[in-house]
Amino acid sequence: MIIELKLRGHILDSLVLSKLLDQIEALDVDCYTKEVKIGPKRQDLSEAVFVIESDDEAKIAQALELAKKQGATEI
Amino acid sequence: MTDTILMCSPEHYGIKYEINPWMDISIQANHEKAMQQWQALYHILKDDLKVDVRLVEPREDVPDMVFTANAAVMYGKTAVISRFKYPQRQPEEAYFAEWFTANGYDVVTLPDDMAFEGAGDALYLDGVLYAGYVPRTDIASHTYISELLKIPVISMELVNKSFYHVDTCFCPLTDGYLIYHPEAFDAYANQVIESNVPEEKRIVANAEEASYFTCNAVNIGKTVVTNLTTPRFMALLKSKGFDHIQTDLSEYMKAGGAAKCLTLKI
Repeated sequence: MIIELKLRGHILDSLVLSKLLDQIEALDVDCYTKEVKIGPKRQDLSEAVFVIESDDEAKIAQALELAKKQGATEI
Repeated sequence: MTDTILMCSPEHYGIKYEINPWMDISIQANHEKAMQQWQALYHILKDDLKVDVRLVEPREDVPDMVFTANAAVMYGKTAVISRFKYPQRQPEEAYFAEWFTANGYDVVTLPDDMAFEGAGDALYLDGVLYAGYVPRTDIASHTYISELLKIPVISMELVNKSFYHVDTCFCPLTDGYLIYHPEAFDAYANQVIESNVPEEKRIVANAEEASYFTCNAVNIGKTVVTNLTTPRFMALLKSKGFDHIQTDLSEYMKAGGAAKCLTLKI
């Protein structure tokens, strides 16, 4: 199963993207960042699209739960 | 420039429900004592520190309305009204919006399903809004507010249930100083704080001090007002050039609040 997620906000200076990727990787599922758009100014938001891949549906569900807590949405 | 603070008299304050670990309906607040403690804080701010204190009318159906910090987050003359997580506090949203509108503020509301608990969960430090999330506020609200106000919003995850709002464990002070309790935050938030606030400006409240809600402070210029705290903390504040006023707020601790929770800078 492959799912694609989007995380948007001050995700780099808040370390939210790093945290979420660390947490998902700890589940032992494949996870990679597909795209990162960095806000050009301090007040601008950044955006990351990342992919989670696993045959284990329970782990995918866990990953989605973690992602939701950090504000990510499935796309 | 005079600070302006919004407060709400505790006529209807009491422990009527349990929505945080401090609340226990079998341990009621003493109404007379609560009134005296609130009056003492009011007079410290108004008379000693020359704050322009405004009052919002207390309403009978919302005992926590006394905690005006949760009314909104302010940006100039704009009030971003809270979306309370728990239904017990949701009626406060309309009461506070009514006050802000009547007093000439622009009122902004968030989407219905987006929990956000105002200046209880969002505090300015050097022009950046540092915002807590998970217990009471959704991180999605940080993104929404950042876009709305066009300001950076740093998200910090709260991991200790006793410190359910960011203002219970994080208090920016004049000149870039910060009182905080590191154990209330996850490792990532601690890293963010350590990266953004120089070590000499970080004033760490230990576990005992944090349990007295020492971080839930009101800062006016170089004076900090807190609930009763330790001699160690008072000396620490003094060493950083701050005057300290402590005032007993034990009746509000029963609801999980202290000095900062009872005020909103507007």
